[in-house]
Amino acid sequence: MIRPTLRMLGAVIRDGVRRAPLVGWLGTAVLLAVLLAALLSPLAGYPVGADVTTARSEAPSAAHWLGTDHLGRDVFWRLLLASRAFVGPGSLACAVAAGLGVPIGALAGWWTGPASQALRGALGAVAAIPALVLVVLGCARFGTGPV
Amino acid sequence: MSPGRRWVRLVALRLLGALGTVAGATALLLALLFLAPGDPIDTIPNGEALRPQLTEQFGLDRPPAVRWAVRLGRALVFDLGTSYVYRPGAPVAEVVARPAVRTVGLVAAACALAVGLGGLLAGITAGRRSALRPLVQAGSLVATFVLADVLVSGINDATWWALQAGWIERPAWFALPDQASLVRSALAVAILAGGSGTLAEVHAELEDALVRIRSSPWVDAARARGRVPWGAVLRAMVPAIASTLSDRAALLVGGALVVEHVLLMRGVGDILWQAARLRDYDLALAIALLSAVLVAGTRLLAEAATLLVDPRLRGAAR
Repeated sequence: MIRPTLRMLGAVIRDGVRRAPLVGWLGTAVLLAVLLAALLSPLAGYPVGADVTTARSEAPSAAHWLGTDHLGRDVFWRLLLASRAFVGPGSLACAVAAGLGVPIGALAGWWTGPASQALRGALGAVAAIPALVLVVLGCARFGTGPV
Repeated sequence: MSPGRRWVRLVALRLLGALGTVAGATALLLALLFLAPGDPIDTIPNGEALRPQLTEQFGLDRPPAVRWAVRLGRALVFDLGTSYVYRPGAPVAEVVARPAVRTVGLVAAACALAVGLGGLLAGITAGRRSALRPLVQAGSLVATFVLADVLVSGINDATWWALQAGWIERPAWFALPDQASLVRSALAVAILAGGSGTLAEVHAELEDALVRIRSSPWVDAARARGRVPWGAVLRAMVPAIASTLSDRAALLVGGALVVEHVLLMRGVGDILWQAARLRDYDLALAIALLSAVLVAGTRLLAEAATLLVDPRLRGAAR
């Protein structure tokens, strides 16, 4: 049971890799770069509070790859450190969506009649609220400071 | 059942479905706010001093289900509550009415651009190897807010630099934030259509639909008689367009709110951000509800268009 399932999964992945369009590879490369930045940035030992230099609003150079902002902070390092702020919540959101979506979708498909209709209706109501609106609404309720 | 009655029944069922979606979205939004600590009075200056009166005025002493039903009933007669901070004392419906029209216009224009340009590109690339395809898809990888910020900063900086260098006079389109500007509107529509991925999605779906239609027997038969049934071909593309726009509705509405904020346009997006900053609870909630209505309305229209052009689906939907 497990071996044929794994074999089928392997075939699906191989097929997907072979058929993936250029833009798919491009998207994967961007995603991997962000993940790598988030994972490896703490290893570089660049302290968050030590990124203020005397050079303000500098153009990109060998010392500051993406230049500095108006407070003299190295933009490249801030970018690397900031990647951690959205990789964590993004991964968690994906895990929650998959963890809830798969059983709910399976139930909606398995059941028939009013129960299935009600489940689909509830999911339709959730999907009718744009995610960004929920975020802004959250800011209205809790404020915009760190949680 | 007569065809007329069948149509009435079909339309009534679909309208009920859309109303159910909005009622469910309202329940979800209110549930999120009920679960959060505190209440709207916390966000009102000097609210604590007036807590007993405000609790009664807002109906906060009633059970959540009653509050949901009351809010839903009021929303049906366009009573969306009162703004307490953004424009103190003003009815929310009055505050958002005109900006909402602008936002709906922006979303509609972005849909029209995505369908028009996506259809044109699909006509060029369908069934052929073309460099246009990866270009359109790559454009959809850029997030709406990044695209908006980069384009606006780029155009503004370049124009400002040319002005400073004395190369050009201040152009008429170089508008101040609170002025209406055709260039800014056009930019917003293009960013929303491209950055939300709608253009790429419409293009891909229409490409598939065109390839299917071209190889269908009825097109072969019409070609054999020496004519191409363009009207029927366009009708056959409607379900693909409707399904894509229906799927993308929430992204388009959410994207419109961001684009309006970044481009300083006076739509509900800008008001929503200000309501969030000022913690104007009723105003933000009403705009969230309006967004859900807009998404449900777009889905309803998409379904109606599909049912109109496909008699087989009409039969199945009865």
